[in-house]
Amino acid sequence: MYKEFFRDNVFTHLPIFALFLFLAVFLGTLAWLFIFQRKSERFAHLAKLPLEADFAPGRNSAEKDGSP
Amino acid sequence: MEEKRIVYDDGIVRAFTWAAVVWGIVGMAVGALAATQLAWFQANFDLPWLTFSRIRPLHTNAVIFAFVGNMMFAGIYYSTQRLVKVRTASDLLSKLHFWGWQLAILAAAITLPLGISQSKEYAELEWPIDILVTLVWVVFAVNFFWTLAKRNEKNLYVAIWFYIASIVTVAVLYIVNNLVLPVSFIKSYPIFGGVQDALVQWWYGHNAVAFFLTTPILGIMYYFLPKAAERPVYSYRLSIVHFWALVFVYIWAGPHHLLYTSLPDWAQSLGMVFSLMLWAPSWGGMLNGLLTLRGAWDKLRTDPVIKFFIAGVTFYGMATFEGPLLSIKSVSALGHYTDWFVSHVHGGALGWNGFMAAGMFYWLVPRLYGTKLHSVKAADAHFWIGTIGIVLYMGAMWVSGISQGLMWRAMTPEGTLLYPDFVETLIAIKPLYIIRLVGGLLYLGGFIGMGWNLWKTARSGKAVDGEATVVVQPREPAAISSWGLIFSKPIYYVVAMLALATVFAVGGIFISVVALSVLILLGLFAVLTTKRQTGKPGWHAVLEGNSLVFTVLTLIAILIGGIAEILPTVLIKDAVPRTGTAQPYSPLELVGRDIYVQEGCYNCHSQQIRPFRSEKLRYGDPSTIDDSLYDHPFQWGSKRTGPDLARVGGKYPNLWHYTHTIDPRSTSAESNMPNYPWLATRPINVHQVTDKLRVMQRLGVPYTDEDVDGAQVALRKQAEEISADLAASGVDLAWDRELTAVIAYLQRLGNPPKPPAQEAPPERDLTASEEGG
Repeated sequence: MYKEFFRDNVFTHLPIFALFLFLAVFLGTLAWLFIFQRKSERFAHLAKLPLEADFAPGRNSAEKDGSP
Repeated sequence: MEEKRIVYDDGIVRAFTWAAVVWGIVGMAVGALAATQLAWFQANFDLPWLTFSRIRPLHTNAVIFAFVGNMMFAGIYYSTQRLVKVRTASDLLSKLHFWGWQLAILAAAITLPLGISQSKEYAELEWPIDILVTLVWVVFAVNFFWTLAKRNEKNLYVAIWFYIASIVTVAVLYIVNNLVLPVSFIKSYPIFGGVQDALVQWWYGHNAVAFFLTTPILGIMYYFLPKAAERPVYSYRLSIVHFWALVFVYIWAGPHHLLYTSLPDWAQSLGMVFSLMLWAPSWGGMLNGLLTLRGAWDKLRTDPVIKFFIAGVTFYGMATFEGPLLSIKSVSALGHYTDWFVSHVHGGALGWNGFMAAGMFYWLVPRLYGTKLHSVKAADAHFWIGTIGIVLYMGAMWVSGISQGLMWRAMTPEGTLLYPDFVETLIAIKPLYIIRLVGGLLYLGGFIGMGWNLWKTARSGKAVDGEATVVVQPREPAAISSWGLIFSKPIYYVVAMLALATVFAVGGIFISVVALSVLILLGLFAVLTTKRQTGKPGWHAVLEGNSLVFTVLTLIAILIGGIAEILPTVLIKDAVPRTGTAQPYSPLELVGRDIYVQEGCYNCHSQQIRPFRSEKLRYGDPSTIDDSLYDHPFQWGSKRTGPDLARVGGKYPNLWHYTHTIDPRSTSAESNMPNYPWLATRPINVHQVTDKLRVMQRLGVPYTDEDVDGAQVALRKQAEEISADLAASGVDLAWDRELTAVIAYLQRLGNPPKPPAQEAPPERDLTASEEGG
């Protein structure tokens, strides 16, 4: 099928190699993120930003029990 | 440190929320009507303003800009205030934003059914409304960035990045794609024509999906999903990769809408390759969303908010898998112009946008009114009804689309078309159109139920504005200055790698191998040598605290792809050899073309024959760049509910076109095309044709001053010939009726007048012109 994608290219293996390289880099980045990443206080703080609750009269019960 | 009490402006959130619910119901109801019309043509009621080809743009615009637009503004206003810990900068600008946006929607709802349209998909609105939309967007942007400037939280959370990308990119896309020269207050011609217009339009069209329907909703996902799941996003590091990879790659993929057209092949291949690359960042984001629920999957059983969010993110994953798949040339060859694409876009619209909106509303409205959701059971029922509706809709359109694709290309052993009559495919898929309608109605029913549930919720409480106490930290000077962020190693590495990638793409085999090798080595070098000093913030951490530089870099990231694709094509005279056979339309044909645009014929008829044997047999020779060179706007279309019309000229007599337009069933039994009887009674504006030619002349269409001055006379002469020809067949059609002009235009398609024998051949004309210029 890849020959159909690049049928106008003289060397079909180059763009295919580049595509796989891109995917390998991306997957490698993901692996680095998931497996080797250190704990970061900064990231932990930023990731919790949405979890900071508002305070508003008459609304605390809905916030606390988490129900919609 | 100083503590500050903040009262958020949640009134604007409530306003946008209710607007989204109301416009969502309207937009989907119009969609249900359009689906009914495709199954039963009688539902067009022979009313111009209710005809499918006019209300289909109303449906798409209402759902995209009215429903999703209002929904995303609600989400952005709510989350931004809380993420940057400050009230929106200006209540006045917020109100101007809200009412200006509703005014633009109202203007669209009036003008589109009246046939006032630019005919560019999702950009149909005429220039005065475009100016209004642009002004409103500027108001929104000023208010947003002003709020960021006043913030009490130093770092910008990932959701804010996606909002920034959406705001700047939509501005660029909308302005460039709507560059027009007006003929009147309700009529204009785009400055780009033919293939250039097609590329600019689909650069816009694709990225409207990317930066209006996707990135702001991803921002909403990054805020509301952790909020509903009560746990932080799975990986903040992954969100950094997700953001930059997505905004950089997405913008390149537009040409996948134009595969196998007369767009230059390099642009098609570029669009396809970048579409395939999109798989990675899209799924990275999807996984980040889904894994946020780790350890709390039990909520999926009990919490309708989580149900909608998780299903929405899953539909995002499915749509972003299917999109690149459909961008593969051989898959596109089968699927393009068919209902498969209708299935794909509705997977995104109903599953991703609709469900994310529902999840957000169910979470938000109880909090905006200080109460609990009126009925969790009703919300659960909405989820299941909506899901069944989507499955029916998408399933029906998948089967219908693949059936269409296979039937169009099916050949007999003798090498002729197995289904030569286009209407045979329509007959085959009609049951699927009915199933699609059922699915759409189910989804609409669930959505109306949500509106009722939210209304009852609001009635049980009272409007309250969120409050918070924040600690205001003194602003310290940044570790790296703004210029230091730009002139820094990460930027140098990225620029160098982009340059090497460009050399790889355009070079010969030897140079490409060298460039690729250097690129790999540079990447490894960058990874291995970049180490952050302990105790000091990294480059990206500083960037997250500098909203100006962040916005500039985002803008550059999206401009690279746009410029790389569009500039060479705008300079197409040098880039692509032409046959030199293009000729401008006659005044009557031009008027007929404008009526074709007004009626929205492009919604069902393409004008682009692909280089396939089956298409050559069915429609004629493949389309060339010259066929549409002077088309402002282009009319290539994206869907074939009816056959391609690129070479319909001269195929049938005038009488056939007259009869077919008045009553399509009289020439094609079982056709689902609406009747257009009003075209035979409405007069054309003869006087305006002079202005039209003059504007076209300014756009580069080679009309002489004599052509412009004699336009009205020439129009009448050609119209009287058509009228006389019809009279000979016993049909009474006055020369100055809209249908006369439409017939002239249709007879011209793919059938240009032969140049007079004494004139020089076209090739010599072009050479002489270039030398003379």
